[in-house]
Amino acid sequence: MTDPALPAPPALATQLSRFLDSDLSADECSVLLERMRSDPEARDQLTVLQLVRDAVAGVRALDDGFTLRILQRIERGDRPRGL
Amino acid sequence: MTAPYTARVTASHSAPNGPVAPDASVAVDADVLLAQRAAGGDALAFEVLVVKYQRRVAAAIRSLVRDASITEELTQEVFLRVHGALADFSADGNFRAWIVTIARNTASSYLRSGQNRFDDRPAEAGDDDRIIPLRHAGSAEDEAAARQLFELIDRTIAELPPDQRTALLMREIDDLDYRAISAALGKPVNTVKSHIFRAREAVAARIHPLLAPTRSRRW
Repeated sequence: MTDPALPAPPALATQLSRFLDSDLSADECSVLLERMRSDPEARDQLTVLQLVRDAVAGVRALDDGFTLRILQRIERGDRPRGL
Repeated sequence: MTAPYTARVTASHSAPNGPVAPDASVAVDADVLLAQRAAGGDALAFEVLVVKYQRRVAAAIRSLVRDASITEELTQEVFLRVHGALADFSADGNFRAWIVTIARNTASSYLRSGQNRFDDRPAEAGDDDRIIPLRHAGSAEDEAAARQLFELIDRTIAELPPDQRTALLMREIDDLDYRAISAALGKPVNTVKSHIFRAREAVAARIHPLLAPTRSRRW
């Protein structure tokens, strides 16, 4: 039971937090992923929540375009160099 | 295409004479779901995995490789490898352990390859190993911004209500799930969820002004 003294949090942010903790059903995940597909704000909220999670865990780096550079390489069809 | 969700289903409908069908109403391992979707060609699912694990991968590489540019290059290499190997990931596996193992193997291969021309350098004065530098984060301005951001995060966590702070630290540092935290604290599971969510949101709200100018650089 949730503490009744606490006001209800925004639905999207709550879902994103639970998603990061693997606390959503497959159907709920699907709905959230569809939301992220079309909503840059949802994507950014997820990114910031993950930054917070990593920072608390002591894994600290800024996203200075790092994610986008990785995704550009995937999109270009780059292959691993086989280091 | 979406593969069936079979992982970490904690309850299921069982048919008397047929296969067990996943119950769509119970929690699933989000990483397994994302990996299965990404393997089926869902680009967004892979993007979420990159968002979730880029720092963990970079940290695993950084523990072996000192140079920032090489750390970023090898991190990209890891995600290229993972993208090509998603079909090999087992649905009952641990995605984080899988990708961190690939990261360590990639860094070790790099070090063995003789390309590690930067890695004999001694640590530079002022190196802060708590913040992983990446290719474009090396300017004094970027480093100052990173330091300011993480100091604010630390301050905000210190100022959280004790219940929220404890639940958050148990989740992120001890890697305990909601039920384990609930049992340890003697609080209902939903209260624990609420504490964790509110703690994350409090930190996110405090750092939002610092992150707003760099929105265009993020996913």
